Amino acid sequence: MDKHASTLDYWQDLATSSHYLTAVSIKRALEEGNYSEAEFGITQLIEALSRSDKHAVRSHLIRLMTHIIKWKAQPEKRSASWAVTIDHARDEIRAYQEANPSITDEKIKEMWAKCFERARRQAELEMQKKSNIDTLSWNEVFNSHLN
Amino acid sequence: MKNWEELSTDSHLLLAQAVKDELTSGHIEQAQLGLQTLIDAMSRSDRRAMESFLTLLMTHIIKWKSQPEKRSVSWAKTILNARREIKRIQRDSPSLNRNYLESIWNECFNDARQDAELDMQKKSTIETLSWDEVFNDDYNLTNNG
Repeated sequence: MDKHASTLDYWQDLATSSHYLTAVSIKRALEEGNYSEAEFGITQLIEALSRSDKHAVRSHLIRLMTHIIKWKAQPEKRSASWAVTIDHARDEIRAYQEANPSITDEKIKEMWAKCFERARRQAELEMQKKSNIDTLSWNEVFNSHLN
Repeated sequence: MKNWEELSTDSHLLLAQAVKDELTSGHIEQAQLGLQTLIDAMSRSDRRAMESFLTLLMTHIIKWKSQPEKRSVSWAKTILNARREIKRIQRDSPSLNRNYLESIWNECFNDARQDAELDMQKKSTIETLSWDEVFNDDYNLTNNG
């Protein structure tokens, strides 16, 4: 394996397993004057951070959709705690979008169908019954009022 | 001169991108400053996450012990998940070890007790939680944990 490929692998592995230890190692590389190592490192760290932002948005979206499905499917069980969860997940997703401009509304729409399927399974598991909700619109998920 | 502290409150990603810009422009000292800010910010958010997960974990254990009749799969899942998350953070940040957890134990316990009392709408009779109770005991519906 050539030196570039092995350096790349090293930083990729490290950045995937720990952002913190990657940042510490990049700083050490800089202190030792290994600027090209540091550049490899910071590039891989940026990719890993961006991946984990996307992953976080996906989890928040699934949690949000799960609660919207329950909200619609079980009006008699609506609670302040569900409303808080929904509101919180919306805020979190917005905060990730603000901090990471690559997570556009379009990107979120690309994950929609898959997240909806997972949310539906999760909601059905929690409600112990089938859901009759087959789709959720952007408005239902992000703008509907909860009261 | 960049205001690294200000950048660090926005996002780790933006901060890392700014570090890369400095690095590729050959501003090594700035890149080092930026990296230190990033390292500090990451360790702060790991510590915050540890506090949140430990409190969440304790809240559910208090409820589990105080309200056996209300035990649920969802409580058991929350306990398992919080333990897992704590382990993951420890893998990332080895300095957040058992000593660290013990140093935040009482504060997290007090918060957890308050949260649990609010959820249960009654006072909790549990005055302490041991390490084993929080991290090792089984909480599942079959053996009455």
